[in-house]
Amino acid sequence: MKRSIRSKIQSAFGIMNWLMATVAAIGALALFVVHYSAHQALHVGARLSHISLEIQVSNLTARKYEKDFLLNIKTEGVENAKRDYATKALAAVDRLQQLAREGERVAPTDADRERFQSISRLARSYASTFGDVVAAKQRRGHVDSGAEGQFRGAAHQIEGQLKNLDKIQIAMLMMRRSEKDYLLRGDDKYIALTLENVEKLKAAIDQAHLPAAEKVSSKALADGYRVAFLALVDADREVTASTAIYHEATRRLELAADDAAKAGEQASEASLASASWTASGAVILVILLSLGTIAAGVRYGSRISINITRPVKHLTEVAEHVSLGDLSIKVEHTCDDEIGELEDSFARLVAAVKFFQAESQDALAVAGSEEKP
Amino acid sequence: MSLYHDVTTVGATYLGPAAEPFIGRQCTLYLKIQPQALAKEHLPELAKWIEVAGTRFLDAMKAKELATKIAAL
Repeated sequence: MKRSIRSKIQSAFGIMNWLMATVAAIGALALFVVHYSAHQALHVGARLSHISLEIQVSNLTARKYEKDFLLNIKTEGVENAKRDYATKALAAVDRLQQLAREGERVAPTDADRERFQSISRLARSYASTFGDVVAAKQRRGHVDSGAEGQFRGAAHQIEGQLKNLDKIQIAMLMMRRSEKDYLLRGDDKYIALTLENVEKLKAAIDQAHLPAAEKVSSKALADGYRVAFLALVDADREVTASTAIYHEATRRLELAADDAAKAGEQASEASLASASWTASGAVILVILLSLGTIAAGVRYGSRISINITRPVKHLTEVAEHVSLGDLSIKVEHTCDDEIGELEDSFARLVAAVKFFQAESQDALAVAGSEEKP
Repeated sequence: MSLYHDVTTVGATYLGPAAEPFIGRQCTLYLKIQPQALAKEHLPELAKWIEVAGTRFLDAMKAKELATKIAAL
């Protein structure tokens, strides 16, 4: 196909524009990718860090209300302490579990997801064991409620019935003293001592000068006291056992919350590193593409320049020879554009000049031969 | 338009203003006819002479190309 110089130059500029537009588009795309990935990475890092901090806050809040519950049982009673503090502690644990689930959803790596899953499991365990402690405390009661309330009732009943009876009162006071020792110190040896003193009290009742019916009812009260005391001991043991389990759960949850805080910091650092890496990659990509485009532009421009200047140089040479009378030079057809047409015109011109030169030489030769006698 | 005119038009693309005298010369010198009397049957002979004589002014390849075009008219 015949192509004009104009179309060649236009196509050269078109290709250069296309290359520049491609580089610009890739550059813009790279910037968009950098912006997006940096935003994502920073968002994830910041979100994880925030979640980890909130987990710590929720954990500490739960622990604060839990301590308030345990401390205020004696002053406010179990039910009031449960209403005012234990429910709030459990609400804080609920919030902690929500945060752990959110962290699990946002976490970018399997290790981070596992970390938040672990926090969620530990929070469930903490809530469950704390619930057990609260229930055990409720069953044990305080002063007038639960096992302690029943026990105090039984003690007051027997005290009321057997007062003013010296020997029996001595046995009863010994029984109450060992009971108070147990309540104050929680030592198992006072349990056995109290039970022993109950038996001594019953023996004292047997030996006392009392009507048979009163003896029976007094011994029944002593048995009731014994049963209530043992129930209180059981409740105490339940509280101790559940508290031990619950302490282990709190310890593990605190460790996991600290771990999550570290994970949040690590996620922030990792997100910054990732954003930085992506930005560097994009810059390198754009630089390489720009260099590639410049190289391609230089190569293509050079080709176009040679294609245009080479035929012009050849024509200049032909014109130089013809103007000096040298018609032997060969006029080549080097291209199909306007310069190619000019080459053809030169070729015709040279052929015509050669012809007319030969004609005139022939005419001169004929004239010369005619002049000879 | 005459055949001679067509032949000179083709020749002008190779020889420019020299086409008409060059082809006229081939007609009178070698075909022994007046240029205006050029007919179709003369074309193969004319082409042959154009190729031979044309090499004085043109490349051999171009002279052959011109002869082929004239023979094909």
